[in-house]
Amino acid sequence: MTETGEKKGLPDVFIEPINMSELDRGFRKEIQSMPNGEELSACFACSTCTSACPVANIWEIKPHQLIRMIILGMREKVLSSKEIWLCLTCFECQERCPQGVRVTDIFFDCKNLAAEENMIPDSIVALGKELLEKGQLYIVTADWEREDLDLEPDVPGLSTDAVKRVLGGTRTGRLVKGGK
Amino acid sequence: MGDTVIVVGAGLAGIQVSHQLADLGLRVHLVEKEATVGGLSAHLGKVFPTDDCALCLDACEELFSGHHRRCQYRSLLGTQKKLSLHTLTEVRSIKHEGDKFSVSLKTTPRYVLLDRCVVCLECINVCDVEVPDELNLGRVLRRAVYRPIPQGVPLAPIIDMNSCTKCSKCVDVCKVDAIDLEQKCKTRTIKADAVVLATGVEESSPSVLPGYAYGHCEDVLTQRELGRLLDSAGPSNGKALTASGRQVGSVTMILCAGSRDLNAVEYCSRACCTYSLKHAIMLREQGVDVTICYMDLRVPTHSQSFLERARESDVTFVRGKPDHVVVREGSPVTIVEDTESQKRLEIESDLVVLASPLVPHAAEREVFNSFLDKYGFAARHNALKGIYACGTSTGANDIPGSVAEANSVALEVYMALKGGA
Repeated sequence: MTETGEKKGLPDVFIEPINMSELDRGFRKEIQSMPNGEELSACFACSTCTSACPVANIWEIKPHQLIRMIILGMREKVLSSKEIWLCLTCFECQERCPQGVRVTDIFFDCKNLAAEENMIPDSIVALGKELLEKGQLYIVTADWEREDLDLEPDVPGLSTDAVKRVLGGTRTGRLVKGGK
Repeated sequence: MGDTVIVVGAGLAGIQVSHQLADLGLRVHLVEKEATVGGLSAHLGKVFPTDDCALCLDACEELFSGHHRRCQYRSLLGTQKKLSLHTLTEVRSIKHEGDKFSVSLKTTPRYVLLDRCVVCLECINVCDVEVPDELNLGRVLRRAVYRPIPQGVPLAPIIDMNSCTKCSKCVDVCKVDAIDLEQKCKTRTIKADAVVLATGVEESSPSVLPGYAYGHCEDVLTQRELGRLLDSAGPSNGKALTASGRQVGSVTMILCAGSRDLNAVEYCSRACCTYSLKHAIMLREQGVDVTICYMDLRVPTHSQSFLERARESDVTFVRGKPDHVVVREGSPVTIVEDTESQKRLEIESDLVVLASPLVPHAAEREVFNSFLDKYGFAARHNALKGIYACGTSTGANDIPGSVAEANSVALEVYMALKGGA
């Protein structure tokens, strides 16, 4: 690779030095062993994922940086980052990656690892709670939404019991109840 | 062993290998499917590493005089005794018979007889039919009888029968009876002792990697098309103009627009970094602002000066691969994450130029299939003894690399046919 010219002074954004002793060298292998993580190290940091992403503009850590951080082994920083939860899962980055890195799927892997270690943002836990208690995320308000469309107030045949029961036995259930 | 060699493709590598072999005393048939020689290089105007006119890079009497400046225009391609040039000719089949190859050729008519035409060009002046000139992005018109490239060898014009009205004005005006509107296809078979594939590459359509608005916006071009604009013999005499005819003020270039991408073309096209830099420098000379978006710059050592000159002439480099180009108020806007400043940039410019991948010509033709790898490139030495390849038919390459490979293959063919060992 050829560098483009002498840099005048410091770069526009000064990056905090990475503390080598805090790196977890096993993290890359851990992600690679998870579903769809094999291509992780094929990333050549071209940043196509970031320019494809509809929301990364407001992220502090960009998608290509998250991938780089995983490869470097910055386990704590990645798993505690809010960005993996802000991902829209639109898969644009994954579709456009020239190296076939499954970026969105890797973020799912990270979310799963973070969930295992109880590092989920409160807002996400609140969503889980909603699902667990009501069996659905978006409750149809019977008073006007359905009425305006000339529909009867209750959704016919809607049953959320099974969803609630199943979820209760999953990790979502455990996380909402505050346990491991 | 006999001494007949067929070279397929009269691009720079094909011309080079043919001249070398003819000079070494072998009988060479140079087969070219287009009407003129030069291949991709003849589209490019100036070429690196010397910034010469591409037509000057080939083949004339001074072959051994230590000069590199060799002009296709004044070349011996048409006159060298041991070298026959067959233009408008395609290879129909290659049959292996003993230690020889029986190669069947099909020549489509030019309608202008090469052995009679004196290139007075009266026929072009008298022709009434005007159609868009596809070589010059359709921005200018040409006649039905025309020369695809002004100095292209052979110099005689060609008649495009799809637009010709057969009004016979050209036949009447021609004082040497060189025009035959009823010329037919010809086939012939040549027995050869070796076949050299120099089938070359073409710039692929940018549609191999969608998202860059090519085809939606007329001001999104490929590097070859920009090369036509910047050619002094091109549609705007070398001036960079937008499709609407306005002088261009700013240009954004996107490198690897399809190369090195598992979704499009896996390999590196090798020449595009350098010719993008060459075009960037030419645009800077016209006072145009140039931004180059790259993921890596892969400039070979012999072309490093282009990178230095681009830096000195204040070309802006953005390290990041754009994902898409959107069209706002008719102008293309490139969206890219600059990984150095960590900022998302939306670069508005008059032109966006894509470095589209170079893809092999040979892959289009079934007759060459058995010699090609999964990408459509041939090995320099085929498993079948007597089949060679050189230039960009062995992999995308720049001109110095192609010519060097052509020289090396010429010697190998000579050693195999005439070597004393």
